[in-house]
Amino acid sequence: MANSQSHINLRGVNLQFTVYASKQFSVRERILNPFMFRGTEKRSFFAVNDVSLRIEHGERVALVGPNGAGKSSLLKIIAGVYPASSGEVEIQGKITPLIEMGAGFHPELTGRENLFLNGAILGFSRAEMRRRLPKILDFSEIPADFLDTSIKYYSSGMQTRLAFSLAMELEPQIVIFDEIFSAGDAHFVEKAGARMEKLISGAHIMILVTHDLGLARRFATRGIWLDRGRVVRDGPAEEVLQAYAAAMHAREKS
Amino acid sequence: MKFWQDFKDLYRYREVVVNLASADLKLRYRRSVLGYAWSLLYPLLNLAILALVFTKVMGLRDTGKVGAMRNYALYVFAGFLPWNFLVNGFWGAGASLVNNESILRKIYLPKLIFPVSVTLARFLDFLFNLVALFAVISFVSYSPSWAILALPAAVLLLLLFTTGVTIALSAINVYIRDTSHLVTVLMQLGFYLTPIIYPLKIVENYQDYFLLNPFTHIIRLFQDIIWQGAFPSADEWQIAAALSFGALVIGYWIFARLERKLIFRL
Repeated sequence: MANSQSHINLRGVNLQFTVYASKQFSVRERILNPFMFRGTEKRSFFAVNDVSLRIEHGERVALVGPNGAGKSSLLKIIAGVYPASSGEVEIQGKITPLIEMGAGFHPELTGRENLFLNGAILGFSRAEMRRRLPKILDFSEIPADFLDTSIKYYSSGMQTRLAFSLAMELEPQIVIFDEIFSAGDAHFVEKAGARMEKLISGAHIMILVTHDLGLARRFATRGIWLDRGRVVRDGPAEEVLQAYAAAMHAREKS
Repeated sequence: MKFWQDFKDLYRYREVVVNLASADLKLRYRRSVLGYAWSLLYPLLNLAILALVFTKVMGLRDTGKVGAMRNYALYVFAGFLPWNFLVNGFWGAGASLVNNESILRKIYLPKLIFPVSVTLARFLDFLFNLVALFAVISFVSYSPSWAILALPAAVLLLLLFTTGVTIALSAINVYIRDTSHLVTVLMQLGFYLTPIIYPLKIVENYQDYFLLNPFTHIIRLFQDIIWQGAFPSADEWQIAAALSFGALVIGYWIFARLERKLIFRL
């Protein structure tokens, strides 16, 4: 795989959501309410509003903003989950989104089966997964006999550790983290932090969405502050994060 | 061209398709005692009940139109197995996108993966049943004729047809959730409107209507090969092939048109 340059280029990107009374057309509802004026029950809003950004190879971006600012929506556009309503999205490089790790984990399947399934989703072949399995198991500190048990019997900490350990096997070009650090004891969080640093330093581009400004400061070089779908501030991480923290603090006081 | 891109994506994500299909198969019977045997028992038991009802209870055996009970059982089985695949495919794959909404909203995956993997799982069920069927009937002095060589072609057409329909259904179902239920009911009706438990000859005067039913033509291939031991005629092949490729093309077209905004309805 050629180690080419990665970059992300967004030009005038919009994401418009139309909120329906209910998401699907339902025959039952039509019959029960023949006179329901569905047309007027639509509302639309821009989750992402005229955003233009360039993120170059080597940048580590922290995306901050209040809830509902459009951070996740923007990430999902970049990740290819949502199509932009208008504007241009140009991405060079393979994207590995770590949006809620363990997204593809199926509770009934065993740890082993889930690893292979999610490994495949993240781009690992069966052969590669077999090779990496011991390392993943070791890092996650999950006892070997648990591997062939349904993950619904795992504690939430174990599930997180399993998902995280799998994710850490990636060598992503563009890595996107969305609010991932939750469950886990102090020891694992420490271990995980170090592993994450290694992963991030190997990536071409990193985008991190978090409310934890300490985490943002630790990993980011650039900060982008989003509010109501628009870019409020974009600059060196320290500067943007400080401004954001101050604004949030002020908002709390008022 | 989009089709080519989709096909390449599907190939690139083939490991996911295989993993999803195998997860589907494993989960279906994981905690049941008989496990995977149910996949075979279901058609066998259905067949036994049908054979019992229609021969003993309705006395069809002596009418001469259907022949001996063993003969009838074979006839029903030849039609029932592909039908079972159709129904299970439509139901499972039809719901596949809706069922996987949580992962679709988190990571990019080619959406085709979901209906295709479920159809694949059901197809493997079908193949397994087919092999088991031949094992069973070889015990009751069935000797396959050369027509058996045509079976892979019939199986392929069945697969193409089913895939086309399930792909479309999976997308439509996201917009109109009732679709799954509607299809289930329609297929129940379809079962009686397709000559599976009765031969086409029985509905002499209305044959043309039954021939309008696309399922008839696909099922007929299997009945010809397995029950009659004859190669389906050129006409039959042509119609079935036209239906299969048509279903695939139209099904994919519907899917492609609905795909882009799908995510907003999940």
